[in-house]
Amino acid sequence: MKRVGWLLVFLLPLALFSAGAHAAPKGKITAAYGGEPETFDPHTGTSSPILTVHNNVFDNLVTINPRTGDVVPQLAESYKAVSPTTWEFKLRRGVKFTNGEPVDAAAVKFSIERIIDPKTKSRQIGYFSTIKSVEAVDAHTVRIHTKAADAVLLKQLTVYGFIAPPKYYSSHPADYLATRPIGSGPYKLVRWRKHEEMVLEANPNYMDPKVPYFKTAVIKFIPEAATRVAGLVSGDLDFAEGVPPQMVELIKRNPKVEAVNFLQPRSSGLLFVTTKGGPMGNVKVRQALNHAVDVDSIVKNVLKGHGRKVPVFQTEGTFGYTEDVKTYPYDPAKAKAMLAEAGYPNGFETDLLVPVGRFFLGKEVSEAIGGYLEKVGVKAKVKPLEWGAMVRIIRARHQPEVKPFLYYLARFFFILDGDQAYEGWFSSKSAFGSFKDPEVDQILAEGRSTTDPQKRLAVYHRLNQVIKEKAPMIFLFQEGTINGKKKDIDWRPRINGFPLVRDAAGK
Amino acid sequence: MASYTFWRLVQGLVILKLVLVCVFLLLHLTGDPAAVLAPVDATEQDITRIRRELGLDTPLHVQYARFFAGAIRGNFGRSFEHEQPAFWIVMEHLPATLELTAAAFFFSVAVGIPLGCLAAYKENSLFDRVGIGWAVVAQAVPDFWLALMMIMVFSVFLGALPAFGRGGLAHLVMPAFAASTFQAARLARLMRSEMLEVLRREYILTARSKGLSEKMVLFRHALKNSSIPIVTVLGLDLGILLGGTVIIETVFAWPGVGRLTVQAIYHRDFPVVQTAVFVLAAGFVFINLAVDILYRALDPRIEYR
Repeated sequence: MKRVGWLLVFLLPLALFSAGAHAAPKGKITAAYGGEPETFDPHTGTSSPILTVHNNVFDNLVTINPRTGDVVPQLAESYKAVSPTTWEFKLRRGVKFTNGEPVDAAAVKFSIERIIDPKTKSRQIGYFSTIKSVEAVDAHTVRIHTKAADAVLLKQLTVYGFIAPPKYYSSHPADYLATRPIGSGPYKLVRWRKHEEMVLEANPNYMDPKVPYFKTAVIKFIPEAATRVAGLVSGDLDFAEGVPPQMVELIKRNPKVEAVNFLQPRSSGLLFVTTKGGPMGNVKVRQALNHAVDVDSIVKNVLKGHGRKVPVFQTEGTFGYTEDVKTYPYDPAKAKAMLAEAGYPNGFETDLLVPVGRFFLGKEVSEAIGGYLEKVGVKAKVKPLEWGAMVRIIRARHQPEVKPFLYYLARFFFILDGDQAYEGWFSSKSAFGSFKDPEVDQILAEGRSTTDPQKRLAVYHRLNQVIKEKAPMIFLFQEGTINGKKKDIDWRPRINGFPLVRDAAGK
Repeated sequence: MASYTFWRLVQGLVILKLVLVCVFLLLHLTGDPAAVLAPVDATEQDITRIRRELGLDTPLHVQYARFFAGAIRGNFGRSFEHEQPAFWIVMEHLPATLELTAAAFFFSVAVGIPLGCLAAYKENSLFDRVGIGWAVVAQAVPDFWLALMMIMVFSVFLGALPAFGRGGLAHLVMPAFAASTFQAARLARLMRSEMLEVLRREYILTARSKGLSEKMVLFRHALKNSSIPIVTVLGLDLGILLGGTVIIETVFAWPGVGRLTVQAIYHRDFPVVQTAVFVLAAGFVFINLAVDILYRALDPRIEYR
């Protein structure tokens, strides 16, 4: 960036002179993330590093407005529901993939069908399970037909369902495609050294002439947060994801860099195994424990303010959130009374499982919660576990010899929808949740099949009320995150939480 | 000698086979990769599908047979995550690990042996006390802490060395130093005690009394005779460095096999873990074989049968 800085000073008069016309991409940005995509095949993986990096090379049919979260066209020029089970997309004309193939209806059909083809072994397939067929009406019109009305599909398409060139992707083996992506996005992948770096070069023909700002983007993969911060402060990096709160001081001492706080659409909670009866099967007990934990104090003291208490699991800014649902106030006396009323005046004993190193301060938060529960008589033994080991216990939760337990999980609502907040863990089909309730299942199904946004909003408002009353978890907080960046770079994460290189610009 | 080498090779192969069996069984005890690989909002149906796709729905002995049939032919299967053959991925990461191992090994020898020798030769001098005092501290310092402190001092405050990544010599200095500190310190202490013992032997007295120069006594007689246990330790150290630089690789974002393996373990990417362990174990076995052969060069009295 040093060089870019000088370049800017040098070119400033020139830029002012030509104000109005857009400048070509210039300079270089070096960004560091903690996690690395496992593959660069656009149609198979679901991890958040994949979702953070792939969109530099690929575009979707639709995307979100980075600030408001509204669904807006990207490769599509417009879209509409022509019937409850049919979405129609009109494509922009003249857009090409970087290998020269046209972005047309055939490419869209190919891409979606590639995901849902069992031979691809895609882990995205679950998000497109309602698709019956994809129809290329003409060169620039595509219809997606679904088996039933699916209001969530459009939201999934803002993140998954990258459009890729059919000739290229059907003529190379999977091994080859896993590291050599070709798309229509703002960058082309030049080089990828695993566990080291990716080098991206601007696509000179990108459909949006304002994007990208930087000609070269280097993405480094640095698992240790302290090393990322060191790289930022020493000037080797322009951006570092995920700064630990205790290192913010180090950043503040350097005048060239700054730490930026951001509330992610990500929420944490402690799930109850409700399906085996006992205290956790009793809604009174679950409500009582929601009163027992002082979440505000945890946010203030453990998270150092980087978070916000949530009333239910959903976070502000995701579709279906409503301010009408109030949080459970912290009230240990009430919690004790409710436990007594439910038949547990002396509380009970349970395990509290938390994965190590997976969620922001998860272990520390769990230990604080253990303390609060103890005050109302519930002895929760905090057990920090490696994620795979914890998954193993969660998967065994329905077996007769396993006693009900509490488990700490967090979810990232990157499609910004109530369905993503609730379907995953509170539907009876969930592989990781432990809540089975016909009313919740019914409302979830209604939310999926209601395509009218206003009516759909009402469905989720109702669901939020119901979820709060039934309390399948101890609702905790929306997580904050801190990113570090050079001051001369303009870069904020999107409202859905992803800090995308394609959004970065100079000042 | 030739038949000895042959039998050692056979032994090595048996060990490698046992390693593979252990890794296979241990990994399968750690739980279901399908559930770890599935997105957190997966349904039961999704997990069943993934399990089938990865071939994990068959009984364990069938999976085991399939795994060995492949491994014998050098086919370790496809990574569950990277969508590429596991062997490629491990090989892609091997040069970085070898580079770090070689540099760390060089550091530990270059520091440990001269320090130990001189400390013994000048027993109880200031040099001896400071040097061995350092070695005791260096052995106690956790490498994670040392690595981060080095980054803070040399990258953040002095701006002298890059904080992360692989590149030229400047990138190699800190990781290699951090990885070798423990070994260098242990080597220095071991060298010192071996040397002290040898220096008290009668043949050293004889050597001195027949008028050999101190240089000759120290290098030709004392060093050579105290080096057999040292060579054993060096061999072990090399093996440990090869497979044990995980923390250093993580802190310095070094793209080596250790980091790859740890991540593969977290994600239950069985084929990658199996391949990486096999490759590292093969390296270990080979180094041990080389050490055994070296013994003979150092001490012709050792016989091979």
